[in-house]
Amino acid sequence: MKADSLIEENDQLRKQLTPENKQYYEELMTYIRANSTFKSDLDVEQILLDILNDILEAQSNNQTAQSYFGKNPKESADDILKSLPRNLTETLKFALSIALGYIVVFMIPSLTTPGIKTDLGNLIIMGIVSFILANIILWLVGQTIYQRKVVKFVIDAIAVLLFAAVVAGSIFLKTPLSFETNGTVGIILIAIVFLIMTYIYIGIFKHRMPWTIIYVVLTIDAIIGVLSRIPVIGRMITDPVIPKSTLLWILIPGCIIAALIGGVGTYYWLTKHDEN
Amino acid sequence: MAKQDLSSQMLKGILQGCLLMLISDEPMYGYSISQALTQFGFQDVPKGTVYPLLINMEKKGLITGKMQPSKEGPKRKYYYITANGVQEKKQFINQWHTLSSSVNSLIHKRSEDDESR
Repeated sequence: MKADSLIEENDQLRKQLTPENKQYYEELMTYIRANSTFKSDLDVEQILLDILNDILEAQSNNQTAQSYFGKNPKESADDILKSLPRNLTETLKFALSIALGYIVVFMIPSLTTPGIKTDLGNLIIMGIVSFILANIILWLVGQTIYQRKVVKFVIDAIAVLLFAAVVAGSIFLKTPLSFETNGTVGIILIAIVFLIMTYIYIGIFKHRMPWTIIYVVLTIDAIIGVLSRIPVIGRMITDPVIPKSTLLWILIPGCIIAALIGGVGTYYWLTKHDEN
Repeated sequence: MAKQDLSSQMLKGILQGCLLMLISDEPMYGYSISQALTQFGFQDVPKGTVYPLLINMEKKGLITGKMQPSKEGPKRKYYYITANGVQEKKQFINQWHTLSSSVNSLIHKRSEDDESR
Protein backbone atom coordinates (compact mmCIF):
# COMPACT_ATOMS: atom_id res chain seq x y z
CA MET A 1 0.00 0.00 0.00
CA LYS A 2 1.57 3.22 -1.18
CA ALA A 3 0.27 5.28 1.73
CA ASP A 4 2.37 3.09 4.04
CA SER A 5 5.60 3.95 2.25
CA LEU A 6 4.66 7.64 2.43
CA ILE A 7 4.09 7.28 6.18
CA GLU A 8 7.48 5.62 6.59
CA GLU A 9 9.18 8.36 4.61
CA ASN A 10 7.39 10.90 6.79
CA ASP A 11 8.62 9.16 9.96
CA GLN A 12 12.21 9.24 8.70
CA LEU A 13 12.15 12.88 7.56
CA ARG A 14 10.59 14.15 10.77
CA LYS A 15 13.76 13.20 12.61
CA GLN A 16 15.49 16.10 10.85
CA LEU A 17 13.18 18.67 12.41
CA THR A 18 14.29 20.89 15.26
CA PRO A 19 12.35 20.21 18.50
CA GLU A 20 10.28 23.37 18.07
CA ASN A 21 9.43 22.60 14.44
CA LYS A 22 8.84 18.94 15.27
CA GLN A 23 6.16 19.82 17.79
CA TYR A 24 4.51 22.27 15.41
CA TYR A 25 4.47 19.84 12.53
CA GLU A 26 3.43 16.77 14.55
CA GLU A 27 0.45 18.63 15.98
CA LEU A 28 -0.55 19.61 12.46
CA MET A 29 -0.01 16.07 11.20
CA THR A 30 -1.99 14.38 13.97
CA TYR A 31 -4.82 16.89 13.64
CA ILE A 32 -5.15 16.31 9.92
CA ARG A 33 -4.88 12.52 10.18
CA ALA A 34 -7.46 12.34 12.96
CA ASN A 35 -9.98 14.34 10.94
CA SER A 36 -9.66 12.45 7.68
CA THR A 37 -11.41 9.12 8.17
CA PHE A 38 -13.56 9.66 5.11
CA LYS A 39 -10.73 10.74 2.87
CA SER A 40 -8.26 8.74 0.89
CA ASP A 41 -5.18 7.80 2.93
CA LEU A 42 -3.01 8.40 -0.09
CA ASP A 43 -4.27 11.97 -0.59
CA VAL A 44 -3.74 12.77 3.08
CA GLU A 45 -0.24 11.33 3.37
CA GLN A 46 0.79 12.98 0.09
CA ILE A 47 -0.07 16.48 1.26
CA LEU A 48 1.43 15.83 4.72
CA LEU A 49 4.71 14.79 3.09
CA ASP A 50 4.68 17.82 0.78
CA ILE A 51 4.24 20.15 3.74
CA LEU A 52 6.96 18.34 5.70
CA ASN A 53 9.45 18.70 2.83
CA ASP A 54 8.65 22.39 2.53
CA ILE A 55 9.02 22.98 6.27
CA LEU A 56 12.37 21.19 6.17
CA GLU A 57 13.52 23.42 3.34
CA ALA A 58 12.35 26.51 5.24
CA GLN A 59 14.24 25.18 8.26
CA SER A 60 17.43 24.88 6.23
CA ASN A 61 16.97 28.59 5.40
CA ASN A 62 16.66 29.37 9.11
CA GLN A 63 12.93 29.94 9.05
CA THR A 64 10.83 28.29 11.77
CA ALA A 65 7.85 26.15 10.84
CA GLN A 66 5.55 28.65 12.53
CA SER A 67 6.89 31.69 10.70
CA TYR A 68 6.68 29.75 7.42
CA PHE A 69 3.34 28.01 7.75
CA GLY A 70 1.57 30.57 9.91
CA LYS A 71 0.48 31.27 13.50
CA ASN A 72 -2.89 29.68 12.82
CA PRO A 73 -2.13 26.16 11.63
CA LYS A 74 -5.58 24.90 12.62
CA GLU A 75 -7.18 27.26 10.11
CA SER A 76 -4.96 26.11 7.27
CA ALA A 77 -5.44 22.49 8.34
CA ASP A 78 -9.22 22.94 8.25
CA ASP A 79 -8.96 24.43 4.76
CA ILE A 80 -6.82 21.53 3.62
CA LEU A 81 -9.30 19.04 5.04
CA LYS A 82 -12.17 20.85 3.31
CA SER A 83 -10.40 20.70 -0.01
CA LEU A 84 -9.57 16.97 0.16
CA PRO A 85 -12.33 15.00 -1.54
CA ARG A 86 -14.30 12.36 0.35
CA ASN A 87 -13.61 8.89 -0.81
CA LEU A 88 -16.36 6.31 -0.54
CA THR A 89 -14.26 3.22 -1.19
CA GLU A 90 -11.72 4.20 1.45
CA THR A 91 -14.45 4.74 4.00
CA LEU A 92 -16.06 1.41 3.23
CA LYS A 93 -12.71 -0.38 3.37
CA PHE A 94 -12.06 1.16 6.77
CA ALA A 95 -15.56 0.33 8.05
CA LEU A 96 -15.38 -3.25 6.87
CA SER A 97 -11.93 -3.86 8.28
CA ILE A 98 -12.96 -2.60 11.71
CA ALA A 99 -16.25 -4.47 11.79
CA LEU A 100 -14.69 -7.65 10.41
CA GLY A 101 -11.71 -7.38 12.72
CA TYR A 102 -14.02 -7.00 15.67
CA ILE A 103 -16.13 -9.97 14.70
CA VAL A 104 -13.13 -12.20 14.12
CA VAL A 105 -11.46 -11.25 17.37
CA PHE A 106 -14.52 -11.78 19.49
CA MET A 107 -15.77 -14.82 17.69
CA ILE A 108 -12.77 -17.02 18.40
CA PRO A 109 -12.99 -17.01 22.20
CA SER A 110 -16.64 -17.94 22.02
CA LEU A 111 -15.77 -20.74 19.64
CA THR A 112 -13.17 -22.12 22.03
CA THR A 113 -15.59 -24.00 24.20
CA PRO A 114 -18.16 -26.13 22.44
CA GLY A 115 -21.58 -25.72 23.96
CA ILE A 116 -21.27 -21.96 24.35
CA LYS A 117 -23.50 -20.36 21.79
CA THR A 118 -22.02 -18.02 19.24
CA ASP A 119 -24.19 -14.92 19.20
CA LEU A 120 -23.99 -13.73 15.62
CA GLY A 121 -26.40 -10.86 16.15
CA ASN A 122 -24.29 -9.53 19.01
CA LEU A 123 -21.17 -9.75 16.90
CA ILE A 124 -22.64 -7.92 13.93
CA ILE A 125 -24.18 -5.16 16.02
CA MET A 126 -21.06 -4.67 18.11
CA GLY A 127 -18.94 -4.75 14.96
CA ILE A 128 -20.88 -1.81 13.55
CA VAL A 129 -20.81 -0.05 16.90
CA SER A 130 -17.04 -0.47 17.05
CA PHE A 131 -16.68 1.23 13.68
CA ILE A 132 -18.75 4.18 14.86
CA LEU A 133 -16.80 4.29 18.10
CA ALA A 134 -13.46 4.20 16.28
CA ASN A 135 -14.52 7.25 14.27
CA ILE A 136 -15.70 9.09 17.35
CA ILE A 137 -12.44 8.43 19.15
CA LEU A 138 -10.40 9.53 16.14
CA TRP A 139 -12.42 12.74 15.93
CA LEU A 140 -11.97 13.29 19.67
CA VAL A 141 -8.22 12.87 19.31
CA GLY A 142 -8.30 15.46 16.55
CA GLN A 143 -10.19 17.89 18.75
CA THR A 144 -7.71 17.62 21.61
CA ILE A 145 -4.75 18.78 19.52
CA TYR A 146 -5.57 22.46 19.49
CA GLN A 147 -7.41 22.63 22.83
CA ARG A 148 -6.52 23.63 26.36
CA LYS A 149 -5.62 21.13 29.10
CA VAL A 150 -9.04 21.04 30.77
CA VAL A 151 -10.84 20.21 27.58
CA LYS A 152 -8.27 17.53 26.80
CA PHE A 153 -9.00 15.81 30.10
CA VAL A 154 -12.76 15.86 29.57
CA ILE A 155 -12.35 14.43 26.10
CA ASP A 156 -10.07 11.65 27.36
CA ALA A 157 -12.66 10.77 30.01
CA ILE A 158 -15.40 10.58 27.38
CA ALA A 159 -13.25 8.30 25.24
CA VAL A 160 -12.67 5.92 28.16
CA LEU A 161 -16.39 5.82 28.95
CA LEU A 162 -17.29 5.07 25.35
CA PHE A 163 -14.75 2.27 25.24
CA ALA A 164 -16.12 0.77 28.48
CA ALA A 165 -19.63 0.95 27.02
CA VAL A 166 -18.54 -1.03 23.98
CA VAL A 167 -16.90 -3.70 26.12
CA ALA A 168 -20.04 -3.94 28.27
CA GLY A 169 -22.18 -4.20 25.15
CA SER A 170 -20.10 -7.01 23.78
CA ILE A 171 -20.52 -8.98 26.96
CA PHE A 172 -24.14 -8.32 27.80
CA LEU A 173 -25.91 -7.79 24.53
CA LYS A 174 -27.76 -10.96 23.57
CA THR A 175 -29.65 -11.39 20.38
CA PRO A 176 -31.73 -14.31 19.16
CA LEU A 177 -29.30 -14.83 16.29
CA SER A 178 -27.25 -17.41 18.16
CA PHE A 179 -26.22 -20.86 17.25
CA GLU A 180 -24.22 -23.71 18.67
CA THR A 181 -21.01 -24.79 17.05
CA ASN A 182 -20.32 -28.35 17.99
CA GLY A 183 -18.45 -31.11 16.30
CA THR A 184 -17.32 -30.91 12.70
CA VAL A 185 -19.30 -27.76 11.93
CA GLY A 186 -17.44 -26.07 14.74
CA ILE A 187 -14.06 -27.19 13.47
CA ILE A 188 -14.78 -25.96 9.95
CA LEU A 189 -16.07 -22.65 11.27
CA ILE A 190 -12.99 -22.16 13.39
CA ALA A 191 -10.80 -22.97 10.42
CA ILE A 192 -12.55 -20.35 8.26
CA VAL A 193 -12.39 -17.64 10.91
CA PHE A 194 -8.75 -18.50 11.59
CA LEU A 195 -7.89 -18.11 7.91
CA ILE A 196 -9.63 -14.71 7.76
CA MET A 197 -7.81 -13.62 10.89
CA THR A 198 -4.45 -14.73 9.52
CA TYR A 199 -5.09 -12.80 6.32
CA ILE A 200 -5.96 -9.66 8.25
CA TYR A 201 -2.93 -10.06 10.49
CA ILE A 202 -0.44 -10.52 7.67
CA GLY A 203 -2.03 -8.50 4.89
CA ILE A 204 -3.40 -5.48 6.72
CA PHE A 205 -1.40 -5.30 9.91
CA LYS A 206 1.81 -6.61 8.32
CA HIS A 207 2.67 -8.79 11.34
CA ARG A 208 3.56 -5.83 13.50
CA MET A 209 3.30 -5.50 17.22
CA PRO A 210 1.02 -5.35 19.19
CA TRP A 211 -1.12 -7.31 16.76
CA THR A 212 1.34 -10.20 17.08
CA ILE A 213 0.40 -10.75 20.72
CA ILE A 214 -3.31 -10.73 19.90
CA TYR A 215 -2.74 -13.09 17.00
CA VAL A 216 -0.81 -15.58 19.14
CA VAL A 217 -3.47 -15.57 21.85
CA LEU A 218 -6.24 -16.08 19.32
CA THR A 219 -4.33 -18.89 17.60
CA ILE A 220 -4.05 -20.69 20.91
CA ASP A 221 -7.78 -20.17 21.41
CA ALA A 222 -8.45 -21.58 17.95
CA ILE A 223 -6.31 -24.66 18.62
CA ILE A 224 -8.06 -25.29 21.91
CA GLY A 225 -11.37 -24.87 20.15
CA VAL A 226 -10.52 -27.43 17.50
CA LEU A 227 -9.05 -29.89 19.99
CA SER A 228 -12.04 -29.72 22.29
CA ARG A 229 -14.31 -30.67 19.45
CA ILE A 230 -12.38 -33.84 18.68
CA PRO A 231 -14.15 -36.44 20.84
CA VAL A 232 -11.32 -38.14 22.69
CA ILE A 233 -9.03 -35.19 23.20
CA GLY A 234 -12.02 -33.00 23.99
CA ARG A 235 -12.94 -34.99 26.99
CA MET A 236 -9.36 -34.93 28.17
CA ILE A 237 -9.26 -31.16 28.08
CA THR A 238 -12.62 -30.46 29.60
CA ASP A 239 -12.44 -33.01 32.39
CA PRO A 240 -10.57 -31.42 35.20
CA VAL A 241 -7.29 -33.08 35.97
CA ILE A 242 -6.70 -30.99 39.02
CA PRO A 243 -9.52 -30.41 41.48
CA LYS A 244 -11.47 -27.33 40.48
CA SER A 245 -10.62 -25.27 43.53
CA THR A 246 -6.87 -25.61 43.01
CA LEU A 247 -7.32 -24.84 39.33
CA LEU A 248 -9.15 -21.65 40.21
CA TRP A 249 -6.33 -20.62 42.49
CA ILE A 250 -3.99 -20.90 39.54
CA LEU A 251 -6.25 -19.53 36.84
CA ILE A 252 -7.62 -16.38 38.45
CA PRO A 253 -4.34 -14.83 39.59
CA GLY A 254 -2.83 -16.04 36.31
CA CYS A 255 -5.48 -14.20 34.28
CA ILE A 256 -5.10 -11.04 36.32
CA ILE A 257 -1.34 -11.05 35.88
CA ALA A 258 -1.71 -11.72 32.15
CA ALA A 259 -4.20 -8.88 31.79
CA LEU A 260 -1.92 -6.50 33.69
CA ILE A 261 1.09 -7.44 31.59
CA GLY A 262 -0.96 -7.11 28.40
CA GLY A 263 -2.44 -3.76 29.40
CA VAL A 264 0.73 -2.21 30.77
CA GLY A 265 2.79 -3.64 27.95
CA THR A 266 0.47 -2.22 25.30
CA TYR A 267 0.36 1.15 27.04
CA TYR A 268 4.12 1.26 27.30
CA TRP A 269 4.54 0.30 23.67
CA LEU A 270 2.01 2.92 22.54
CA THR A 271 3.63 5.74 24.49
CA LYS A 272 7.06 4.72 23.26
CA HIS A 273 5.86 4.97 19.65
CA ASP A 274 3.76 8.10 20.07
CA GLU A 275 6.21 10.99 19.90
CA ASN A 276 3.50 13.36 21.12
CA MET B 1 -16.26 37.94 11.64
CA ALA B 2 -18.02 38.47 8.31
CA LYS B 3 -15.63 41.27 7.41
CA GLN B 4 -12.70 38.95 8.06
CA ASP B 5 -14.23 36.23 5.89
CA LEU B 6 -14.80 38.63 2.98
CA SER B 7 -11.25 39.87 2.84
CA SER B 8 -9.80 36.37 3.30
CA GLN B 9 -12.01 35.15 0.46
CA MET B 10 -10.79 38.01 -1.67
CA LEU B 11 -7.18 37.24 -0.75
CA LYS B 12 -7.68 33.60 -1.70
CA GLY B 13 -9.08 34.57 -5.09
CA ILE B 14 -6.21 36.96 -5.70
CA LEU B 15 -3.65 34.42 -4.48
CA GLN B 16 -5.04 31.82 -6.86
CA GLY B 17 -4.55 34.25 -9.75
CA CYS B 18 -0.99 34.92 -8.60
CA LEU B 19 -0.26 31.20 -8.31
CA LEU B 20 -1.52 30.70 -11.85
CA MET B 21 0.82 33.40 -13.11
CA LEU B 22 3.82 31.96 -11.26
CA ILE B 23 3.17 28.38 -12.34
CA SER B 24 2.54 29.34 -15.98
CA ASP B 25 6.04 30.84 -16.14
CA GLU B 26 7.68 27.62 -14.95
CA PRO B 27 6.70 24.45 -13.05
CA MET B 28 7.10 24.94 -9.30
CA TYR B 29 6.66 23.03 -6.04
CA GLY B 30 5.30 24.16 -2.63
CA TYR B 31 8.36 25.83 -1.15
CA SER B 32 9.58 27.43 -4.38
CA ILE B 33 6.08 28.90 -4.84
CA SER B 34 6.22 30.31 -1.31
CA GLN B 35 9.64 31.84 -1.93
CA ALA B 36 8.41 33.48 -5.16
CA LEU B 37 5.39 34.91 -3.32
CA THR B 38 7.65 36.37 -0.64
CA GLN B 39 9.84 37.90 -3.35
CA PHE B 40 6.83 39.68 -4.80
CA GLY B 41 5.81 41.19 -1.48
CA PHE B 42 3.55 38.52 0.01
CA GLN B 43 5.87 37.84 2.96
CA ASP B 44 3.11 38.55 5.48
CA VAL B 45 0.80 35.93 4.02
CA PRO B 46 1.14 32.67 6.02
CA LYS B 47 2.28 30.09 3.54
CA GLY B 48 -0.07 27.52 5.05
CA THR B 49 -2.81 29.10 2.94
CA VAL B 50 -1.06 28.08 -0.27
CA TYR B 51 -1.62 24.33 0.19
CA PRO B 52 -5.42 24.18 0.20
CA LEU B 53 -5.34 26.54 -2.80
CA LEU B 54 -3.06 24.19 -4.72
CA ILE B 55 -5.29 21.22 -3.91
CA ASN B 56 -8.39 23.09 -5.08
CA MET B 57 -6.71 24.29 -8.24
CA GLU B 58 -5.67 20.74 -9.05
CA LYS B 59 -9.22 19.55 -8.40
CA LYS B 60 -10.57 22.20 -10.77
CA GLY B 61 -8.12 21.09 -13.46
CA LEU B 62 -6.20 24.37 -13.56
CA ILE B 63 -2.89 22.70 -12.68
CA THR B 64 -1.52 19.18 -12.59
CA GLY B 65 1.10 17.75 -10.24
CA LYS B 66 4.05 15.57 -11.17
CA MET B 67 6.73 14.06 -8.95
CA GLN B 68 10.21 14.86 -10.15
CA PRO B 69 13.69 15.40 -8.66
CA SER B 70 14.31 18.94 -7.37
CA LYS B 71 17.39 21.17 -7.35
CA GLU B 72 18.27 19.95 -3.86
CA GLY B 73 17.89 16.34 -4.93
CA PRO B 74 14.79 14.73 -3.38
CA LYS B 75 11.67 14.22 -5.48
CA ARG B 76 9.07 16.92 -5.03
CA LYS B 77 5.60 17.46 -6.46
CA TYR B 78 5.98 20.00 -9.27
CA TYR B 79 2.86 21.76 -10.51
CA TYR B 80 2.30 22.44 -14.21
CA ILE B 81 -0.33 24.74 -15.65
CA THR B 82 -3.03 23.26 -17.88
CA ALA B 83 -4.88 24.77 -20.85
CA ASN B 84 -7.80 25.55 -18.51
CA GLY B 85 -5.34 27.13 -16.12
CA VAL B 86 -3.93 29.41 -18.83
CA GLN B 87 -7.46 30.54 -19.71
CA GLU B 88 -8.29 31.16 -16.04
CA LYS B 89 -5.06 33.12 -15.67
CA LYS B 90 -5.94 35.39 -18.59
CA GLN B 91 -9.42 35.91 -17.16
CA PHE B 92 -7.95 36.81 -13.79
CA ILE B 93 -5.54 39.35 -15.29
CA ASN B 94 -8.38 41.01 -17.23
CA GLN B 95 -10.64 41.11 -14.19
CA TRP B 96 -7.82 42.53 -12.09
CA HIS B 97 -7.07 45.25 -14.65
CA THR B 98 -10.73 46.29 -14.75
CA LEU B 99 -11.14 46.15 -10.98
CA SER B 100 -7.89 47.90 -10.11
CA SER B 101 -8.35 50.69 -12.65
CA SER B 102 -11.85 51.36 -11.27
CA VAL B 103 -10.60 51.41 -7.69
CA ASN B 104 -7.58 53.50 -8.64
CA SER B 105 -9.67 56.09 -10.50
CA LEU B 106 -11.98 56.32 -7.48
CA ILE B 107 -9.02 56.88 -5.16
CA HIS B 108 -7.52 59.36 -7.64
CA LYS B 109 -10.80 61.28 -7.89
CA ARG B 110 -11.19 61.46 -4.13
CA SER B 111 -7.63 62.67 -3.61
CA GLU B 112 -8.26 65.35 -6.31
CA ASP B 113 -11.40 66.40 -4.45
CA ASP B 114 -9.46 66.48 -1.18
CA GLU B 115 -6.77 68.69 -2.70
CA SER B 116 -9.24 71.16 -4.18
CA ARG B 117 -10.95 71.68 -0.78
